[in-house]
Amino acid sequence: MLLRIASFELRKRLRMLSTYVYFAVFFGMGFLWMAIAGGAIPNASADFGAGGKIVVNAPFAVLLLAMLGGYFGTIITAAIAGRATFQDVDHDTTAFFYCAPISKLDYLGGRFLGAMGSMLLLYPGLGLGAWMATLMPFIDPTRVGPQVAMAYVSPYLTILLPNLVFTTAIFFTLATLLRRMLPVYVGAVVLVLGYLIAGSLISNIDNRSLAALLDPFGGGAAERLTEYWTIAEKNTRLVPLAGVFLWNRVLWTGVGLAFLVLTYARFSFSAPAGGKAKRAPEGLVELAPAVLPRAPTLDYSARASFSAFLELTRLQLKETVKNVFFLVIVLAGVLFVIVAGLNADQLYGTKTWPVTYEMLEVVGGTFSLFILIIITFYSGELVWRERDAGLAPIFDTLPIPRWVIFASKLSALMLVQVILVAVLMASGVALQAGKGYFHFELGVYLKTLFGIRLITFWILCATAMLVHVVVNNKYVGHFVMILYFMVGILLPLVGLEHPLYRFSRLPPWTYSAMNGFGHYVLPIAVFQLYWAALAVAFAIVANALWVRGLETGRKRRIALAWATRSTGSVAALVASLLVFAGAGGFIFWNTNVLNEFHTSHDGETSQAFVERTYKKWWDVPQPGIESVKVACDIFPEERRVALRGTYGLENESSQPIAQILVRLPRVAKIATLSFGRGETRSLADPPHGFYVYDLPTPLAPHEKAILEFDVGYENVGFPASGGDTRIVTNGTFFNDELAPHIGYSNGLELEDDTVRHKQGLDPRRVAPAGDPVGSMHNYGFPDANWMDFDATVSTSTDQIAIAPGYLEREWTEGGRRYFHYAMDSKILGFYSFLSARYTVLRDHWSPPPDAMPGSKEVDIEIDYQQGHEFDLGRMVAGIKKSLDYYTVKLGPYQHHQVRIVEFPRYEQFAQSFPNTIPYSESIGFIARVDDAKPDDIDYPFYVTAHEVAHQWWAHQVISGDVQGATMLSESMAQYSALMVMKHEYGADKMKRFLRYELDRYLHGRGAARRAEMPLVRVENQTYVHYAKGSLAMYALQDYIGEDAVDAALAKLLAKHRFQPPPYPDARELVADLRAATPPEYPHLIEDLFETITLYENRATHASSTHRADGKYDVVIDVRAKKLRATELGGETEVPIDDFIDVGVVDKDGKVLALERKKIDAPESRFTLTVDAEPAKAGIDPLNKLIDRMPDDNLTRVEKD
Amino acid sequence: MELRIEGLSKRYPTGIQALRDVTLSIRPGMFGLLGPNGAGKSTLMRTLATLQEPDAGKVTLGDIDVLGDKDATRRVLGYLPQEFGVYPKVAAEELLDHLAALKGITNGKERRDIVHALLQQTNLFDVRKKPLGSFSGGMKQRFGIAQALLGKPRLVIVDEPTAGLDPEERVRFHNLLGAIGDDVIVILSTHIVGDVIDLCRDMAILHQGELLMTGDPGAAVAGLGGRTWEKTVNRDEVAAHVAGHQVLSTRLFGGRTRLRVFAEARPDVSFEPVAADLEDVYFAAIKGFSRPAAVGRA
Repeated sequence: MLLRIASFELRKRLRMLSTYVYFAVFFGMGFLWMAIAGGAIPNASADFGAGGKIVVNAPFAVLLLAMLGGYFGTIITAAIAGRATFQDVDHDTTAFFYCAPISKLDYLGGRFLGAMGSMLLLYPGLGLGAWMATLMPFIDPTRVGPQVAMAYVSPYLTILLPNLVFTTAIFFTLATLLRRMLPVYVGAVVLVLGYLIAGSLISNIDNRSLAALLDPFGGGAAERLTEYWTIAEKNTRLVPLAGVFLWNRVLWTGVGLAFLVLTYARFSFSAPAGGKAKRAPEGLVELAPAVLPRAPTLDYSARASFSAFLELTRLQLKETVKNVFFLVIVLAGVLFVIVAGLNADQLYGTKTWPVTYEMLEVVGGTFSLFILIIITFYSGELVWRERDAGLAPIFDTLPIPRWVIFASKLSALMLVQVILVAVLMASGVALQAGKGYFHFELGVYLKTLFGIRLITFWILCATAMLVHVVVNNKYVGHFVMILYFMVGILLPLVGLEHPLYRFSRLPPWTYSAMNGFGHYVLPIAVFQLYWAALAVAFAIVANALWVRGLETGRKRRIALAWATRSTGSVAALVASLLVFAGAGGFIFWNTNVLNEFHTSHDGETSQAFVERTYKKWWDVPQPGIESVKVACDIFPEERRVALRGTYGLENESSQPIAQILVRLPRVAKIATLSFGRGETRSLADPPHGFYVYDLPTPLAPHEKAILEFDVGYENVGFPASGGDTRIVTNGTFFNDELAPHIGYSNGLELEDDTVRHKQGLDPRRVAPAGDPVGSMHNYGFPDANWMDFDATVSTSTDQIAIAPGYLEREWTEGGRRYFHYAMDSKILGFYSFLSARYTVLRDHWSPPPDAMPGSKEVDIEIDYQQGHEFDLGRMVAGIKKSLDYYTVKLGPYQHHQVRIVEFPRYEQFAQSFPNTIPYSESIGFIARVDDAKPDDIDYPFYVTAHEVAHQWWAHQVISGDVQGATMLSESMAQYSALMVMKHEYGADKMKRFLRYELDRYLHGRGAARRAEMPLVRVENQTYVHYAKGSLAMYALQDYIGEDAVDAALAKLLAKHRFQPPPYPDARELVADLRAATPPEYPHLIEDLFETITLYENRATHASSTHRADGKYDVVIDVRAKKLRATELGGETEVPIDDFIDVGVVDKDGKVLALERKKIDAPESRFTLTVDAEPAKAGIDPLNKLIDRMPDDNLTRVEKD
Repeated sequence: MELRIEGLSKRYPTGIQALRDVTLSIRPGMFGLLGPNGAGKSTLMRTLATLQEPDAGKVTLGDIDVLGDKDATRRVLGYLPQEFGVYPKVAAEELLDHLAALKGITNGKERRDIVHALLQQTNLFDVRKKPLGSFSGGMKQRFGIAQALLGKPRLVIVDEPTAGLDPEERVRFHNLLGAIGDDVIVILSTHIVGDVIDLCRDMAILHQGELLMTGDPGAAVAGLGGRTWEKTVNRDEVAAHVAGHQVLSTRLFGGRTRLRVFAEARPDVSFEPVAADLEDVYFAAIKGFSRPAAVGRA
């Protein structure tokens, strides 16, 4: 009987159109996903997080697709599973089934299986669509790997099936026991929040397993399981049901089954109304006197309509809000804000101060999905309230105008948003207070939440009302809204990036503590007006099409709407459309006429064009810049800059130069570009910013020349990107990129191999070390070698303007403030200009007695935003400790000032220019390091140490433009900073820091878009030169000693300081390090720097004996394996013959014994003797080696 | 004030012709619209109540164009639908007060007075604080008429109000309807002949969308005068009699079947003459035996 019921439900489902629509949507989703990822759409580029080297039909990629389909499918599951039993309540057919001679199990089980079976039949659409797409001719064949049937089947079984058991059970339970659909929607909302909450936890490594377990859809767990997978594994390996993924599936399937048991236990075959409400006692039997009351005064004035509107709004709002479901939603939202807020913005697991914009970011982004779902469901409820209750025939004949009904519902929905937004604001403030932060910026809260977000929500409210009114079927309406959401995500992926057609969206904007809402105010306001006008039109149309009465046919409704139109509503519709068109026109004028509009694909095409057209100039000798003298006028209020100056040039080659290539940003307004040699311009390519000048008299070898330039930049109107963030009202920061450059630069090229392939370019290979051209240019700044620098910067009188060099003079003239900076030593062609209303902190450092000769007194200056005093002390300490260490161990500092300058958080980095370190307000200025917490990493200190180290690594020694260049700058800066940190905070803290570096490296290589290189040949890959660089250098100093490493580095620096071309490269560094390595580590340098070497170390067993003398003998069995990886992560085992730590720790993780043992067999046994009771023991307990399973290195010690 | 319906037709997309050129005029007082299930009564009622659009035809109430000026119609309308629901968790008084406000009774005191009066009138005063979800069918129906009488309705439409009510409730309900003033047009749609007999001075019979007769119930009964006959037969004889006569109705009586037939003259001696009643008029009309000459089309 159970199966008969299930199959009846299934057959019924198969006769419904919606089933085929759902299937088509799944099919379309899978197809589109594959087609887009496979490069079918020429001007789109997307890979959906699978990574450029991962083929589109890799098991891992298909799993990602299944995860996405699973999230999306939840909405459909909610509709189908919810209606499985609710249909009887809805259609009043309960009597047929409740009284039928079937058992509870038959009824519930059959309906449940019917619903789940329907979904099981729908989901294959996803895989089918994806598979079909891979066969299409428009797919780039290089993006498709071998077809593996299990790649499609496995996610179906491991992701979708358990999800279905769980979600179907929850929705089924809610609808069956509560006999309503609303709880089902609320359940869906809470599930989405569970997923979001799990996602908010992963920034902290310690939370990841918890986050993986918490994601009810299993995606987080699958990602956790595969987080360190290599590209080769992602391409070929099926994601196994193992580890945390298995536990996640077991947990949530179990929860689902528990829900089913609950349903079975609590459900009873009784009429819905009888259960709860007690019958009201019957009134008196005797008849009431048959006299009707006196006729009252009736008021149908406009005032009365308005009070009816208020009365109805009040009731609609009350009905929506005053129930347990809304409370659940609000509490779930608060919970999300708290969990996400508690974990907001961590760097290395260390928190920031909970500044207001961070609280607000928690409720931006993914949280809007939550709001969208609420709007969708509640708009459906509001539109259908009277009809669902059966009150419609009475309600629809009330003598109130139609607009009163519609407007009251829309207003109620809008008021719900106000409540939600107010709750969010209260939660944000409470969270800040709870974290002991009391600088509540209520203005920022109000502007962001009520001025920006609420308006967007309101626009969505009107849209959702229109959809539900037009569609006139609650479930289809919900579905259409979800489709709308999906389309919103898809548009940019198919190359439709212009915000004009991305409904309800604003151009990107960022709030900055320094610059406030800055120049985003105008675009935000205009876009809000644009969408709001459309929303008003939507509301007017929805009002006109409002179903009042029983006429639901499309033609009748349109005819009725037309027949009942009022002049006012037609005028309002026309007016709103005019405003919409006007605002749209104004936006277009700004984004496409005053500014240029480019999609990201346009940008890629332009980059490819530049490479194809101008790469040949790389081999053409060009004059080098020997000196820069520049006058830079910054007009912050007008967001305008003028750059005038002179370059001193010299032909440093041995051939005469007859043509000079000059490049400038394409938005530059060029007033003057002159060599003063009667040159002619033989090529002008303003769209790409390239100009070629022919010199009548070629520049002879070693002949000098000048280039005079006068270029300007201004911001007019606003571009679609929201606006340039370099020249802003408070917090201008730009570098030499705005000044003219000579010749070609490799930095202009596309790096992503997939994108390059799409543009018809070969994979990019950096020139190998020793390349004759590459060695003659330094890495990053190819047109200048070591040059002189002098800058006069002017700005508004209330701001301070800064450039590298020392302040020679400051004066005010013509209502502007001038600063003259001069540099006393040669620098790279890398300089910056900053201007803001700074507060200045000054300090001083004197070289320690053992500093290397040439070390000078150093002035310290921090130019910061008032209110960002939190971490200044840590930065100053970072500068001083760095100078202490570097001047003693590496060599003298070439400048006599270190300056940290804050800039707005439009960019999130710190960067080292000569004696000047611009530092984003979001990196370090609001860090909240708790020294009492052993886990907290003082990253303002660390970042400062890294940037100060660049004054040596890059600003003293820089590699040629060849492979390995960033090892010489970034890995060395990273290592130097690590050593400063180690001395300040102890080796124990380093373990945690290095754990993050290992995470970053393993993640990075698994998502690499280009071939992975060993360190010595790194091609500007951050996960290699930062993360692996840290690990390798730290391991090296652990093996051969810090002093030996530093001595080698000091030697290198002394040899190559300010070396003119040909430049040194990483080979020389590695040679010096090899020379410093004792012969007992024959493979060390090769393993760390010259190959990609990984270990699979594992403790298999450990046991201890308590000796008579109180000590413990610990016997440890370990397995060690050494692997060499190819550039895509394919691994081969190599024989192991290494020294590796074997150690024992106590129950607090304190190291009891740590001995470096020679390991030359896959399995070994060691005995260590310790003084205290051992808890765990194993191999490489401090994770010094690169190991993809770092957590199995230790095992619990068993007592004998 | 008169409600005039002219040439009203309605065909549903499913092909069912719900109303076929219905022309009718209704004066103040209680008007009974009689017809079997599916006759088109509810379609007519809903059209008059502004909920549906006819394909053709015209309806005026005094000088109000009912189909064109729905807002004006709604101001003078009281409507008790055949089926309706309520917010189950809202108290009777609260919902009635809410509806009263929406009916245009903006004065708070007046509204409270009329709500209380109607609750008392409908015998719901004692349970006014109870949620509507706890009401029995009869109580809910009384609440329905209470809301229909809110304001100053000049056209009250009650669609199948007594279906499913027990006899006592039905009496109580009739009494309520009877108390509505004589200057109000009350249209009572029903398939129960007794409702019309008890309450209506005027009536119409609707069948398959067509108006079969209109007029005074008494005159209609008189119009059948002397043409109704009765005979009691065994059950196995029923089929033969139905085939041979114009049978108005058959009714089981003491285990046998009592037949009423329509005939100009006494069919045979086994038939006894009986006095016609409204039910005979109804059956004669819907079975097409007679178009009572006494009542022409209005």
